[in-house]
Amino acid sequence: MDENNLVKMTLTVNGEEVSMMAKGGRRLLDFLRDDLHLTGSKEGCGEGECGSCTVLLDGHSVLSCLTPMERAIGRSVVTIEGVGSPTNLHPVQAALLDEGGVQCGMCTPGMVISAIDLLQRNPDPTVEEIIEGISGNLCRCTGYKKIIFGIQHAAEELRSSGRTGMVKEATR
Amino acid sequence: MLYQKYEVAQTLAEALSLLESHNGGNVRLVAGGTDLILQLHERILSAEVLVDISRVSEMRGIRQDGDELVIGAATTYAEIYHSSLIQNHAPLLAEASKKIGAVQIQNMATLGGNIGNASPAADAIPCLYALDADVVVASPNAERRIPVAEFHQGYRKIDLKPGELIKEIRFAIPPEGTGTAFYKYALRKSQAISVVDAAVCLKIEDGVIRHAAVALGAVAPTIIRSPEAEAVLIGEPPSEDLFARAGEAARKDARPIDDIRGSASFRRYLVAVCVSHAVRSACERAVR
Repeated sequence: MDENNLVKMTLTVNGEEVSMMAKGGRRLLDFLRDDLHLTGSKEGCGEGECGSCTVLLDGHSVLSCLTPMERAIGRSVVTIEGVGSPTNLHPVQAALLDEGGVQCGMCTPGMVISAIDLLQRNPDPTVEEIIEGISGNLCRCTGYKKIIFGIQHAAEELRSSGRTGMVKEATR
Repeated sequence: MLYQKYEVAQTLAEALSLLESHNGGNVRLVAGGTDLILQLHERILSAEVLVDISRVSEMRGIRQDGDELVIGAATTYAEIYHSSLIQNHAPLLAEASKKIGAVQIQNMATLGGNIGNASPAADAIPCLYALDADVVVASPNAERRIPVAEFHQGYRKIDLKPGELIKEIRFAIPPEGTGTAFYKYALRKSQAISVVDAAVCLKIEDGVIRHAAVALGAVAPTIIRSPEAEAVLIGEPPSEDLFARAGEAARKDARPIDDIRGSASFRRYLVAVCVSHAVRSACERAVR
């Protein structure tokens, strides 16, 4: 067995091909943060309760703190860094800012990913469906109301502009 | 480092041969990883080798095989609640799947993993007890089929030998006139471990309950059936009084403990609440 336990990580991250040798046997969250320096995904609880580490794996929201990094090989990962940029915000990000759905920011990356996951599956969610969609993401600041308003407005914005909320569409 | 080596199996044969080649070593299967990776991270468990079975085609998806439904062990809860076969024939399992963790966990966690982890508070397993489901276990030379209640031998103890893996879950498609329901009491709607839950499968013929299976979660070292509640239900027409009596009867079978989520006496009280709700929903679905 290789003492250094190096594995070849070949995958797509935020639309770009990544191919590198990396120390294996870690969580996807650690690979993203420590090796790729994508520190937008946060470690909140580290045990699958808080949702701060949520990323999209082949388009589905997963908890990167419970995902072995090698599982991402050959697949596509989207982190908050692939969702939008300060000058080109995703409609979910813009709506959360407009509504005051962001305070300390710790939960925000995971919250945005979960909202995008929801809107991709369900472009016109009810309030109950929004609550269910973000029920795996804890926020200790906002009391959720402003986040829910933000996601409602983002959904309206996406629908009226004929967009699907898909991440690639937003970043191009 | 959580583990030294990560191997990905594409087929059942490959998964079994990887298990065999690391036999004697500290090898574990990983499907969703939601329990395992946490347990490795917190050093509750250790592993040298992980064998990823999440992409083994024979262990994925839901299909009908004659008069049975087959759920691959590596099928996720999101796949289970989106399945029209499950929604039509075993809606209790769709209900339970929606109440496990939240979206992210449902996208990751698998039914086989839930069985292997063997928590007495697992939400999907009471449904399998109520459906009289069997666990199919594969090894390089053979398959074994074991009733789910026998497969769970005790607190977090399962009937799985080295070199074996949980391949799939099978149960007879409930006949016409059957209603099923799952009811969970937890401290929150999402991301919550059950304080008590109940799964019910019953059949009504000519206005009378002819078959009743009542399973309880989080009230004993394993999931249990409630023969007391089943005896109260069989032969009776559905009524509010009957639902309440079935709930009371189920309390006699519960052997709960005090823990961080609730006291034993609160759990004994909740058993009646959960069972009567689940029986009522099952009866409504049976006569629809």
